[in-house]
Amino acid sequence: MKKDRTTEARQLKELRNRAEKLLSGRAEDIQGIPGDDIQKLVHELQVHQIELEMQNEELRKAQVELEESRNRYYDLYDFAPIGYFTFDQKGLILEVNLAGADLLGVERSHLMKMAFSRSVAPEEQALFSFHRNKVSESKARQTCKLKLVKRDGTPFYAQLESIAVQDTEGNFNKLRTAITDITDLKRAEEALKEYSGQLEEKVEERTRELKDAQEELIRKEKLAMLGQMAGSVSHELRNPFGVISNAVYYLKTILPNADETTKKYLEMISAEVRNSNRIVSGLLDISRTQPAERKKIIISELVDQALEKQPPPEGIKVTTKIPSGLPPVFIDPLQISQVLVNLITNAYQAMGKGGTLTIKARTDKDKVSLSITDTGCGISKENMNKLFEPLFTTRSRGIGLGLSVSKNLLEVNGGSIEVESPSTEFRTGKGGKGSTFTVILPTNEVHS
Amino acid sequence: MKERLPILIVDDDKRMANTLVDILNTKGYGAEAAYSGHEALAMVKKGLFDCVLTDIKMPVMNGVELFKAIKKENSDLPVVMMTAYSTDRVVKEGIEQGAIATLTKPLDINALLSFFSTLRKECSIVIVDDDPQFCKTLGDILRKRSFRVTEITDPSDLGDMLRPDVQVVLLDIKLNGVTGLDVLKEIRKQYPHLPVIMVTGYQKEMAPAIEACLKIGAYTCLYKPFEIEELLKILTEIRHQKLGRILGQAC
Repeated sequence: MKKDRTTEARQLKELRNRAEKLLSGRAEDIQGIPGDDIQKLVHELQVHQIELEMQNEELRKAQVELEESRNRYYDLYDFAPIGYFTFDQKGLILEVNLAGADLLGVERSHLMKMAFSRSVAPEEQALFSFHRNKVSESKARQTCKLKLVKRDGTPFYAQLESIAVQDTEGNFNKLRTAITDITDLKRAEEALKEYSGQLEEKVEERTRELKDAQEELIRKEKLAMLGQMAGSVSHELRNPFGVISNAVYYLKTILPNADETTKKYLEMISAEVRNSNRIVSGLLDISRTQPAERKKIIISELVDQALEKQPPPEGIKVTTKIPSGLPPVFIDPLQISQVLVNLITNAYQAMGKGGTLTIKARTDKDKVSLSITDTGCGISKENMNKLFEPLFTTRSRGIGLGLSVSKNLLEVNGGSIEVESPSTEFRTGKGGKGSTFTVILPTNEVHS
Repeated sequence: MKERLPILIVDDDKRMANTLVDILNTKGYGAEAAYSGHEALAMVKKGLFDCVLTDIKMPVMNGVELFKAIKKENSDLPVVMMTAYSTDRVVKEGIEQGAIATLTKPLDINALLSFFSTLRKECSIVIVDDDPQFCKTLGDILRKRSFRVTEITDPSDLGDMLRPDVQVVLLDIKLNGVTGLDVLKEIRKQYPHLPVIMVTGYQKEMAPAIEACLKIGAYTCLYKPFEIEELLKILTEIRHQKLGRILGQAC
């Protein structure tokens, strides 16, 4: 846009002509002027002319500087790293820099007078016009994020920062907008969001694990405390039981000819002392937590012994399906026998109206799993979670230590216990279809 | 059979001690009560008792300590322990120290009575040796120590003389006509668990035969001439084992 020297010279000459014409209109005034004064006047004029020429030269210089500055700013405008747009009130593009054209993937010349909305994703059209209105109304700087589409269809995310611009008459009818591609930022943001989501999940999981571990710890502590308490109470009770049973024995001996009622009552006392002592012995058995003395044991022999100890009550059939040739399990026979007796007793009690107890065994890698299935009342969903908690019982008699103790005994023997009851899957009004407790025992000596 | 077997019952719980004394005395025993370890020890020192039944958990001197003290006085005196605390470490210690049994309270009185009834009976011993002199002298000594003794010089008589109440057989390895091993096999057929002590004067020559006898369950072998104290020690051991079994505890 530079003007060359010739144009400049022509302009100067034209200026002179116009000035001479103006001067010739007033020529008659010079005739009446005395000679000395003319001399003076000419001198004045010459000085004036030089002054004007100097002024002219300065103006020219100023203009050149202005043009250079203008060019500099134009370069800055064009090669800025973000897109600059000027929109009219309808959103037509009035001006755009190279970066802006690049952003939209369109030649700059093709963008002039084009509606910017053509580059806005269809679902965000309203957002763009809302942004324009907001800028015009507030006359203040506004920001918005938009999904734009390049000419070739590639979508990208952009941030728009706009201000309203006044024309020479003071009307706000133009919008100057800086547009930045924030796709990378947006992606990073999304990745961050996803990561923070994962983190939250992990924290939740870890919290859950910690909670479980804590609950397990509480369960064990509770059990240990109860065991200790049950143990000492049972022991203390044995002393008075001893005295009572001696006293009854003595009375029975010295009263061989007592009347029937007296005999009956004496028999009642000794029977109840025996009963009480059995309860106390049971408590002692389950509260005793000694270290496991593990050795190789044939599981079918252990099952037979447990069934001998706990023969089925009337109305209950027992089926055992234990294949021969199972590897021996590596356990403490006394402790695991106690577990089996507990589970078998529970199964009998679940089948108050009779049923079938099925004991099956199978081998899986270095484990033998032994399942004890009853056809009894089953276990409700609510009770399922509390099953192994100390003191949990559904029976009117019993203290609820059997399963809890069994679980602990299995753990010190490197085993575990699982429970399944169909009533937990489909709860029918008729109640459950029995339960299966599966005991998993190690065969390997290394697993301890 | 002794008239009234003197038994000492020791328990700091007087009711426990007294009820036991009452029961035993009704059954014809001569039971007395002591309520502390020291009291019991003083009574034992007077040499009045044939058996002691003591509680373990007692203040000042507990049952195990009492037992150790009694052993110093009279190592043959049978001592039975009782406790309400079956898991205590002291129970194990009592058994290790040589108590006949540890019973848990409440006591099984019937088992206890059959224990005392066995204790009351004199120990019945059969001596099988073809040397009549040996039979006679040993028999006399043992009878003086209140054993009931039957001497057999002809092994073919053994079948008639062996009765279920015989508790120990002393058997010479080299007999007239038959070997001790053969006789032992005959005894085993009828009484598989009867303790048989082999006796011989020929330690070296009889070594293989001794070996064979021990293999089929002879209790031990004594070499003539043996100290009578050694034999008595073995007899006490056998008696205590038998008594322990009656109380349901094999030692």
